[in-house]
Amino acid sequence: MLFNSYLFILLFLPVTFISYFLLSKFKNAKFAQYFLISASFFFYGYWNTAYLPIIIISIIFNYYFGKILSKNEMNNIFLIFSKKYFLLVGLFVNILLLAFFKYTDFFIENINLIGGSMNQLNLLLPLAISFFTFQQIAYLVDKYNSKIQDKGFANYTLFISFFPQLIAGPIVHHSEMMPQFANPNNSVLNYKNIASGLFIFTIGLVKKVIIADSFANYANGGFEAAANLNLIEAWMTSLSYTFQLYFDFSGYADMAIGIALLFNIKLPINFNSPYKAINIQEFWRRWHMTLSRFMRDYIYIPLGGNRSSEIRICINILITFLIGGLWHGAGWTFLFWGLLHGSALVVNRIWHTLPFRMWKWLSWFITFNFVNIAWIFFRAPNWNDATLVLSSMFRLENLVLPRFIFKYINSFEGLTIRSGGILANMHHASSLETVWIVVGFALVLGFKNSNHQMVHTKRNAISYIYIGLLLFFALISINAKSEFLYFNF
Amino acid sequence: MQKKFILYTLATSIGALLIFSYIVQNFKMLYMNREYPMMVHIKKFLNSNHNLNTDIILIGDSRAKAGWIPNNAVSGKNVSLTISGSTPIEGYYILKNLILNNNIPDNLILSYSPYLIAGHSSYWTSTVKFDFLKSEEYIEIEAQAQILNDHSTLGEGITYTDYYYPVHYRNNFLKGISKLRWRQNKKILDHIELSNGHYFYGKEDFADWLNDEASLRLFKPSILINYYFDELLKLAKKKEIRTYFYTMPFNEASYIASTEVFKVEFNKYIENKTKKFNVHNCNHLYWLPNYDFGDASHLYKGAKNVTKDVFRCVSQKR
Repeated sequence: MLFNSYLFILLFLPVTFISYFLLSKFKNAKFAQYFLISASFFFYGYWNTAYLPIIIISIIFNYYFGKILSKNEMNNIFLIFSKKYFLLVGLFVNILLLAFFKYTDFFIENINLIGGSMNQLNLLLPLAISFFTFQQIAYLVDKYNSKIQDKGFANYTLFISFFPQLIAGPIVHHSEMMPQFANPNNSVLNYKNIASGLFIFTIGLVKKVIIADSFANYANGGFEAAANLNLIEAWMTSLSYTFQLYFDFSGYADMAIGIALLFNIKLPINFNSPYKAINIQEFWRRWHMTLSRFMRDYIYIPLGGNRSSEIRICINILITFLIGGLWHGAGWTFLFWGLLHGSALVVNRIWHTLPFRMWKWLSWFITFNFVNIAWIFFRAPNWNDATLVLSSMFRLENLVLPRFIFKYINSFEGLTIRSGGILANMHHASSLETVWIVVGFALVLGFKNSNHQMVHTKRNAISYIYIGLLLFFALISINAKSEFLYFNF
Repeated sequence: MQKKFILYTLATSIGALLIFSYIVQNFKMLYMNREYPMMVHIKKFLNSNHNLNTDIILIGDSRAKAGWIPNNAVSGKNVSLTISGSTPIEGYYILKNLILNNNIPDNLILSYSPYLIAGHSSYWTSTVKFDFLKSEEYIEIEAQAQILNDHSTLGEGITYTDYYYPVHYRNNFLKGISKLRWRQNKKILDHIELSNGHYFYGKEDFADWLNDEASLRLFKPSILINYYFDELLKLAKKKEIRTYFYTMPFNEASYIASTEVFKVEFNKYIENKTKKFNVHNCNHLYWLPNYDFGDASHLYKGAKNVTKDVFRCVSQKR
């Protein structure tokens, strides 16, 4: 079930919301919590019931393994094994599960490239496996470090399966979620939260169904025609994807935050206007913030973090981002994307040691274009298409200009510019795309973040109309065939 | 204040959604393009003219709609049941429903352009959006595409129920309402009923630009459309209707621009088809001067002569 579907918005969400608070009021909070867990599993299993046993077994395994890792239990039951040994087994099982479903075919593909002849398994990737595995790895590590109090199996299950954040994050930390689930005040209807939830859910839905889906048409059309793109088309394609990904994923995050707020649960924000970043380090503080937090706390710091030699720090950064790349998808293009970002962070680190400073606008320009170019490797179905789009972006002989401009500059010596339809090779593209690109820039650079707006927008007659109309327009723009990009990861 | 905000926002958006969905699904004459009233005419004809005796029925696409003028006949009731962008898929169901609700016509003329037989139809954007067929017919067509393993004609992963979503009508609605299309659509419906299904698309004095076929090098019929072409001809044969195929002319510019292979292949395809089902093939692909055309594809000034040619073909075989 998708957040951007009528089934979810008009049926599942209202029924779950009303039932939850009725049960809280007339039965008890625990009963309502069980209901919310069941609803979350229904939400998850709606895609494919075959996925359900995997997540349920994973939750049971990690919860009880976490219990074993807690100090008292260790003393009583498993004296002969060290705590670290149990942690490693726990991590190994989680990573194995993720690797089996996500990376087996990638591994086989590469073995075959160097002479093997294994058949691919064509396994169906269980939805959200990357997200719930990361959350549970964090749980085990913190259990090992005795940072967590056990709040019971029901709270743990809800922490992992809570439907607003289950599929594509934000990747939540037990320390911010378990106390909220355990707090009985949160099972009472709170109109302020509902109003804020409705506000940010609407913004998220608009981001997804109106903005991201429009960019998706152009980006898909461009990548489908990767071999034939002219210079302007190649830039339009990469920028379209850059905006699509941001509005798609941040739209999902806004919707998740909004839905969770209806149940009085505050999810961490995941995006803070990332395309305003003026260096790559700042970008990663603003983009997919909960993943960055996870990578910092559970990969970078355990590797040694900043408390090492400068070379070791750079290597730690590269390793962290290679893992980050691989987490996003099983493919060399993802790995390369991770390497690009890791390298950029290293360069940024070195730059800061130098006695120069760059103009802010230039710094933003370089950062934005680096991110934009790196997304090509993230999006392209293969290495070849990525290099085709990238090379088309920088080959001047690939420039096609509209006739009315062409007549003024075709006399430039040495340039082999052609005239014609500047977006002729891109399926679905029209001059409207240019307008969308401008709108995209205006939205990401000129407006405050949706989370900021949620807090600071006054609830008055103007906001009734504004949000009511936005929600209406978003509702009539819902498409049966539009999935969120991060569902693939 | 918070309660008010929640209540008003939900009431505004959900209320407007329900009203919008109801309007876009039930009042398409208000905002759809000019093809819609033409389809309404055919639906009305198929469903309400019980026991009407017709001399000639023409089933085909927009070129046939513009090229053949039913009211130019000296006698008999002639009707053009042609739809822009349609293919033998729609043609088969038109004939099937015609037979179901009316007397069998004496003569049936079929006319489809090569471009549409090659699969470039407006099945989703017109037939489905305009609710031209019944649900069971859409299901049948989609199932047939699966059986034939044809994933290109209708595209992959699309089904008629997707078109229940208001998003498919959003832009049509905004455009249609801003252009006051209901006035134009009412006029077109009145005109099309009086003209028995005839309509001129372009009304230029001269059209020397290229039609869609000029961009195709080879003629390759769509698997699904070919199947329905056979079904259409089989049905006509079973009901013992005298059937003709007439290929509407290209404008001179497009004929010259089209490849020889394309023209030969199309002619051969129609020749084989008509032979197989005992259909009279009136002509081969030919051209008329650019000034006979109102646009690159549709006849205007030349329609009178082409109409005569169609009648000649039918009368020769009687």
